[in-house]
Amino acid sequence: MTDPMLADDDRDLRLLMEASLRDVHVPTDRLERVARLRGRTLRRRRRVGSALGGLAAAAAVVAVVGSGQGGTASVDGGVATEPSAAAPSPGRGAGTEQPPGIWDMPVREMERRAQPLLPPGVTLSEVQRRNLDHAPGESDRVVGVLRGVLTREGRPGRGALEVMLVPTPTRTAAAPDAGPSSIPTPGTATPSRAAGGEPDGEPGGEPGGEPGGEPGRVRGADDGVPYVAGLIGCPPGNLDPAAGATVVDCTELSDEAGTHVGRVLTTRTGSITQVESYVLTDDGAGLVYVATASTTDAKWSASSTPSADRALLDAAEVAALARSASWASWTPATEQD
Amino acid sequence: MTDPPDRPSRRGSDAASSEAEFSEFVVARSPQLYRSAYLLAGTRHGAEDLVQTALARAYAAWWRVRAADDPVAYVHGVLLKGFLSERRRRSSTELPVATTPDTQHPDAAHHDPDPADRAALLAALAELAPVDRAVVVLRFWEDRSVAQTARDLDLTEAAVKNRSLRALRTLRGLLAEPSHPRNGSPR
Repeated sequence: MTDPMLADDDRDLRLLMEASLRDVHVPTDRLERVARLRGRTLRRRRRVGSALGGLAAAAAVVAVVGSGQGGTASVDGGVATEPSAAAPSPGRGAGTEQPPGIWDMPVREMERRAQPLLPPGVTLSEVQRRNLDHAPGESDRVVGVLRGVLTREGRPGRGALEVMLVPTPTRTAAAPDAGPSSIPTPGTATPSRAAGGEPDGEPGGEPGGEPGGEPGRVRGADDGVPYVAGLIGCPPGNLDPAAGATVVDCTELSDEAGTHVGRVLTTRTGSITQVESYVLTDDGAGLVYVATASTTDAKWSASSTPSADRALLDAAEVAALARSASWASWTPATEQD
Repeated sequence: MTDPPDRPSRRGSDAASSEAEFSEFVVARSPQLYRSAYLLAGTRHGAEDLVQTALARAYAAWWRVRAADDPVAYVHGVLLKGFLSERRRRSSTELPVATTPDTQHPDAAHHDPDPADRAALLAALAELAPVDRAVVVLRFWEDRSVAQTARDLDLTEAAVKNRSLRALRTLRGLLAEPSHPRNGSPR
C-alpha cells in the first residue's frame, strides 16, 4: 500500500516512467542470442563442477587437468548470484544439455592450438586458465573458452582475444503467431520465430552476397537454419551489433565449395574497435567464435578503456583463426587436456 | 508454419520443449525485463548486460526456473540481484561518475517520443543510491508491495517505506529543476 502522502508523487512517477519507456526499442533477438551463449558457458561450468563433486577421490587428479576463466567479455559477464546458489544436477537440465563436442575443449588445449594459428609477431599471453568467479559448487575449470591478451611486434598497445567453441544454436519451435523473423535466412524466405517485434529485420529479403537471389545453403543446416544464418550472415537487416556500435565492415565467408559457412564483422563502439567472426564447423554441429578488440577490459563497450588504437588482428586474420580446421579436429573421446 | 525438425541424435523432445519454452519466455518477458533494467542501469548498454546476464542464468538452469512458483518473478529477482551485485562490485573499484543517458544514441530520437523526459528521468534515478533506485523500480514500476519489495531486497518494510519516501522526495526535487548537475552518484 502506497503511503497516502506520496500518492501524487508515485502516480506521477509511474506516468513519467511509462511515457519515457513506452517506445524503447527492446533488442529481444540479441538478448536471447547472447543469453544462450552465456548460458551454455555457465551450464558447462556447472556440469563439470557437479560431476567433480561426486568424484572427490579424483580431486587431486582433476586439479591438474583444467583451469581457466569461464567468462568472456562479450558473452559471459561473470556476474551476480541467483536466488538459489545450488548447482543443478547433471541430467535434470536435460532440456538444455549438450552432447560432448569441441565445446568441451579445455582451455589449455585451446591455447595450445591457438598459438600456431596466430600471425607472425603476434603473441598471446595472460590466458585465463582458472575461473576465479565460480559459484558455489562450480568448478574452476574452463572449457570451450579461451581468453587472453594479444600483443604484436611493431604495434603499440594490447588487445583482448576471445575464442569460444559452442554447439550450433538451434531453435526448435516457433511461436505460432509471432510473425516473421528479424533475421533473414540466406537463400530462403522461410520465416522463423519473431523477435519481439524488432524492427531491424527484413524478413524474406534477398540475402546479402547472393546476387540474383540464388538460394544459398548453410553448412549443416537443419533445425537451426534461421538462427544460425543470423549469426553468420551479412544482409543489412541481419547486422545487429551491440547498441551504439557502428558497423565498419561485414564479410561473409564460404568454403571451397562455395557453401556459406561464416562471417567476419568489424564494428566500432566509441573508441573501441572489435573484430569478430562466427564460422560453422564442417559437420555443422559447432560454431567457432573468435573476437578481438582494442581493449583488454573484461567487457567491451563504449565505456571500455582503449589499450590500442585498433584491434590487434584484422578481419582476415580473425577469420583465418576462426576457420582453422584445428578446432574441429579435437574430439573429447580421444583427447584430454 | 511448421517447426523445423530437431536432430534426433542430439536432442530429445524434452530438449526441444525446454528450448522452445525459453524462447517463448524471452519473447514474452524481455520487454518488461529490459525496461526495468533500463531504469536500474540508466543506459542501453547497462540494461542489455543486466538482462542478458539474468537470461543466461535462467537458461543455464532452466529446469529450476520452470519449477519455480513464479518463473517471471524468479528471473526478475535474478536481474535485481545482478544489478545490486554489479553496483557493489563497481563501487569498490570505481569513482562515481555521471551516468550517460542515451540522449546521444543515434536511434534515440527515432524510438523515443519524448527524449527530454527520458533523459531527465534516467539522470534523476542515477542520483539515487542503487538500493533506493531498486526500491523505486520495484515499487513504482513493477508495482510490488512494500512487503514484496522488502523481501526482494532483504530489507525491513520500514526501511522500504523510508527509502521510498526519501527517493520520491529526491526525484521530485530533481525533476522539478530545469536541469540538474549529473556529476556524481551517491553511494
